[in-house]
Amino acid sequence: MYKEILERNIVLWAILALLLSSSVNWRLCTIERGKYLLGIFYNGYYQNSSDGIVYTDYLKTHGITHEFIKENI
Amino acid sequence: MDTNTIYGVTKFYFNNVLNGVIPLWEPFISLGRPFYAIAICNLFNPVTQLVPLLKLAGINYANAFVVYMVVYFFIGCIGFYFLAKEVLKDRCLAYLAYLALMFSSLGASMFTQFTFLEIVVPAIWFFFFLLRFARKQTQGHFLGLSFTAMVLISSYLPFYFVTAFLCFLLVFILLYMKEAQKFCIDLYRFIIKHWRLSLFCFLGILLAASPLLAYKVLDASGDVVAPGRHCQYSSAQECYDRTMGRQGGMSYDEITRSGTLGERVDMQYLFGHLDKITYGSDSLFFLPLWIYILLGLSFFLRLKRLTVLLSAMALLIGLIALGNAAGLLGFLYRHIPFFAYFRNLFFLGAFLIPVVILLGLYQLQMLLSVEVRGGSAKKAIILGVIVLHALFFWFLKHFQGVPTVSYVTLGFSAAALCLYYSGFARFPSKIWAGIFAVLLLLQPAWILKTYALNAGEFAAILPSMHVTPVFSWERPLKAAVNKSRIYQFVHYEDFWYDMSMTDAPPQVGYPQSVTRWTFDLSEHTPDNILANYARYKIVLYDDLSPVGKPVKGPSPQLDVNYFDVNTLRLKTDFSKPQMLVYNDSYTTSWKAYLDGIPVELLRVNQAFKGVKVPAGEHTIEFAYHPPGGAWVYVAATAALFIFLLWTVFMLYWKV
Repeated sequence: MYKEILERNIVLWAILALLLSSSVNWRLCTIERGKYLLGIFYNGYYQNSSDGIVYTDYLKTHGITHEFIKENI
Repeated sequence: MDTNTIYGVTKFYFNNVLNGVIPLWEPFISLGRPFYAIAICNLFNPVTQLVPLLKLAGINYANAFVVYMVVYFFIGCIGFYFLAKEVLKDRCLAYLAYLALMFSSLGASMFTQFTFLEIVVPAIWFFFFLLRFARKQTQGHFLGLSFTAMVLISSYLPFYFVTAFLCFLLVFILLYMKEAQKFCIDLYRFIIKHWRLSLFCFLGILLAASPLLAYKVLDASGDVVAPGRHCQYSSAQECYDRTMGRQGGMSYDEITRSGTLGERVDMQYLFGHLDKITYGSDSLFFLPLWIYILLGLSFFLRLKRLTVLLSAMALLIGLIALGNAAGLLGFLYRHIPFFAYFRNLFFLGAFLIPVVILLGLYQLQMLLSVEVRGGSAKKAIILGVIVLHALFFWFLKHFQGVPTVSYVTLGFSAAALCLYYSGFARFPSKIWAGIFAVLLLLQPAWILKTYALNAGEFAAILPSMHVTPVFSWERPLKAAVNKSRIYQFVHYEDFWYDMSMTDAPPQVGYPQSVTRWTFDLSEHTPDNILANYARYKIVLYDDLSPVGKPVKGPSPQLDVNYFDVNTLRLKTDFSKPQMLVYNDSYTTSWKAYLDGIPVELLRVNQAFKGVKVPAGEHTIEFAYHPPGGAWVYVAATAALFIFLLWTVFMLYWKV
């Protein structure tokens, strides 16, 4: 039974998910991405008229507030 | 937006080639600098030669460049079809792989990051030939391998391919030890048996690498501020100091400061907000949703070595590309020196697209080969399909802005697979392939349509007409302005002046490949004084006065005989000896000739070229002869062309 389960993809997917979640600092990715988007699209008001990636959405979905920007970006 | 830059460089190069000159110098910007981008813009590839051919056929450079990009992309897609056919051993699945790649972000991103295609297209063909060679050691496959290696080394910095290849090699050796041993033995025997061919291939690779090597020789001369890959320092002076001090490589912070995969690709945008994708979405990344669904459905499939190989490759490449956000790059940075020289790690993300597509379609192959015996097994599988789709639906609900078409794809996928496993519809395999193609294309077709609709706002006019450069005696004091949104990404002056072959204002921007003396001058001279001085290209000094007289136009005493980007020939008829100063940057590779005889070229006014001219009628020539000169470019182009023909000949007529 155990052997039957261990031979399945689900074990590999679980290992990959574990590796990704444990070894990747996703918060840092968010900070770096915030810097990048603000660096490219920043227009002084954290507003975006019609940019490709709407960073107002991005800021909202990642909890990037003015305070967050002050502290991290 | 690297595509703009690559277009600018390509236009400049081929415009000059069609004028009969292989450009080695850019006299229009930064007070003159070496033509530096030659090793990263795929200029010697036989496919790129479409640009001048189409120009000769009457198409302007911008349209010719778009045709070339599209052709190159489809060459990559076709290569991927062959690669998938080799891996999956199934024509229909290979066709689906071709479609999935065609409708991934790899195609759409050619308008923003053509670099992805420069790296990935030859890599796809390389892996195809590698697989073919592993199965059958023919001269044609060996030549194919060599040719793709030549393209890889001459089209872009080979770091990204080498990294991806090493990831593959590591996992392959671990998983396929016996096959790896057999491959090494076969390769060794082949090289011994065909040593002449192997030697030619090695020479071909050296020739293809010669532009890159020539650039490194120029860099080593110390004449030019040529930072290894990028200049990510806190100040221009720091960049200069470290580059000229031969402090090779970059600090770990510099490499991971920007350009990582985590910075460019957002998990939210893999599934949501896809209606916001436009030309402005630099480094966009998406795969057909059905590929993710297939990966989700494969939870309970039997684990195979190929699944481990592809997923481990994707994992390794992804972790390296994430830079500082994952520990792997830090480890490599400390232990493998060449990792210190490259940033923009998100380029590695381009390799994830074909790898994940292959992985997804391999799961489809196994899903379709599941044997259903008996009614209860059938019901269990159908239930499993429905539950896994429901789980995926639940997963998608966690993302904001997921378009309706994604849910529609999910619904159709569940229906199609239930129908398949129920056995009610006994369609031939080609009909099923058609159904799967619809599932694969539904969502990305919608994304691409949205992309096209959103892209209009970035409309820009790029100089695209053929230019014969004309020597201007005076540089403009004000920079040209263009409000197009694309110029917010790449500095306007970085490529506008080269494309239009007109002079930029007399100023120096960031020290990227400017000469060391021009950089020094610009750092220590106020902008207005430099602009005022270098406004006029030619200044004359005589023995009586230390103040130069700028020449504002042609006269019987001084006129231009000939001008191209590498050469300036002047006709003089002075009544007394003069020091003639050409306000274009000095390097030791510039030479001067008086009436065809070499004379001493002086570095004058700190950064410029000067020659003593006697009284009477004379011809003065300034000519640029960098290491290797034009020969390396001719040799690389010719070698690639010959190897392409040779490969095709050996593959189709003499296998």
